[in-house]
Amino acid sequence: MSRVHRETLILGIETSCDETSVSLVRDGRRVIVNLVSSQIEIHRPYGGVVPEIAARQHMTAILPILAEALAAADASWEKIDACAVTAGPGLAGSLLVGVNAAKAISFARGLPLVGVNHLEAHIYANWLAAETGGAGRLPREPSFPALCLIVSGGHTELILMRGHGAYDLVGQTRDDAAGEAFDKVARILGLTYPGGPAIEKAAAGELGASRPGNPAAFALPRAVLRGGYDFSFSGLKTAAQRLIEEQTPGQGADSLAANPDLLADLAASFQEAVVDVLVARTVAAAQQYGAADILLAGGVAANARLRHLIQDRSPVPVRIPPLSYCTDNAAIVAGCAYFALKAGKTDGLDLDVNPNLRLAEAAF
Amino acid sequence: MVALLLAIDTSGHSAGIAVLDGTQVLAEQTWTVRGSHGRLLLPAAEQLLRVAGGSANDLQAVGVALGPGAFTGLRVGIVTAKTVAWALDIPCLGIPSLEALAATASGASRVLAVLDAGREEWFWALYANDRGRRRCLSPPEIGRPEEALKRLTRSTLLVGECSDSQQALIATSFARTVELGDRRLPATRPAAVGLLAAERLAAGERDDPATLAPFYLRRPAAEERKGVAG
Repeated sequence: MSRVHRETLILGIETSCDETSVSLVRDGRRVIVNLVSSQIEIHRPYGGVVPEIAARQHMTAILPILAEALAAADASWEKIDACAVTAGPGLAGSLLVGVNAAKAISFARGLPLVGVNHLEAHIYANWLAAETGGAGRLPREPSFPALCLIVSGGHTELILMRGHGAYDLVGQTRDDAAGEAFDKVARILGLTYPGGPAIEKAAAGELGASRPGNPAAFALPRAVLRGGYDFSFSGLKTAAQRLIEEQTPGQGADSLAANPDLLADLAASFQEAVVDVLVARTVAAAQQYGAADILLAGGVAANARLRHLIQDRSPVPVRIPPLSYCTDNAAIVAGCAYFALKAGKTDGLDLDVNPNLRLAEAAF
Repeated sequence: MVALLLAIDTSGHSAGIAVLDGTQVLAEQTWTVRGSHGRLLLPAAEQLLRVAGGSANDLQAVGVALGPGAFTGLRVGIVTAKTVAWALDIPCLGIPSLEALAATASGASRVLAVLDAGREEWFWALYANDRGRRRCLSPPEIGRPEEALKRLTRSTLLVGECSDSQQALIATSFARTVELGDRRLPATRPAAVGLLAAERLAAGERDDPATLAPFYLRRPAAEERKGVAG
């Protein structure tokens, strides 16, 4: 970059799923502002994100949130060095609102454009300072090689990061993502969408139970896949469904509302089965590849049981981003783009969305 | 100094942009390549502005076709147009897609403007041209082609998107009232969007980019199934 002598301020845009988010990040680490407009209440009646509705919401949310972010940061266009946007993976209709807005800004203001891979952005949450407003102490930068566990509603991936922009896929789910399994089992338990936070609450005994759920109350299977570090959650989901039916004979899951202690035990046992597999494979892979750090990323990284268990069992330091950077947001996009820009990667105005973008393709 | 207007129309299978100076069309480009609107739009805008002797900094306004039309295409064009307008702090003007289509045939006294709505349906509207003035006789709606064609009472020129089967339907049942142009030519004329936008700009009108959204005419399928009020 030509502007090495001063700070680099990047405008980030994220619209890959159901959050419209805009952020300004300085030097890839200091978050000046990070605004997120969530559609979660709009999609709740459908039990999941409806792509056409999500795209329509992004259309009306994008400019007000852009204007609000610039105003909150007191940033004029002259202070902004580049515009970054999630180009994929994600929902095509959602992605294209953000991508075309970012391209329009690049075109109108003559700013460099950086298309960012959503998974890569999640990893870079580990470089961000916890506080917004640009102040606060910076955390230690993660050391390489780092083993990244990305877990969310759409992803369950183990990635070995050898350096900035250099990744090897070590393992991934062969069927459902971990967050997807949470959503599906939450529905069977009669809990609300999104399922992850609902199951965590139920497991903690916070949905009317007299005590926290017992994670060892019921034995659920941990899928062991041979060769490599892939995951599978569909068998666990089926086993959980069978268990719930056995425990509520002839009554359906609605009866669990009247038996909150049983609900707590079922939720805790299911959560433990998911988290146990995630932690065991991550720790084993970290050992095999000689990882210096383990990095958590993605929405499921907000799960307290996962955070606790992985720190408990890992032989190397575990980095866990602040909660607000685990779910989808634009700070991680702007943060990641800084390192891409520093490596000389920019995109042209012909940048297109790629709903199936893979991590290796985005490496800079 | 030049003061240019950028016009965008991505509502149909064909799409394109135009650059105008006042009511003079300086350059226009259209394409009919599936799934390419987002990839082609701004590189084309940059190139056409250069052809017109300017750049993004010389833009005075942006006009855009609002729909009805293909949802994805509309979103690409509209989010691009309104973000450019917002970032440059210049007026943004939304133009009904079917009216822009009708404006390409101002010589005909009756014009039926149609765009493919999928599911064998049309987005359509009916216009009259009377001594250089255009009136909307029937506002945009969505429906089966025969429903629209049955409503025509006198000789009408059809402009827009018409499939082979729809052309056959017209030839067998509606040949007396409906005239068809050359369907090989792209239906979309972004310059028509530009001219209508220039008219609105001259009249002192402008739309709020923050709230500018496609004119969908059809609710999301999931909402229809669920019967959510909307």
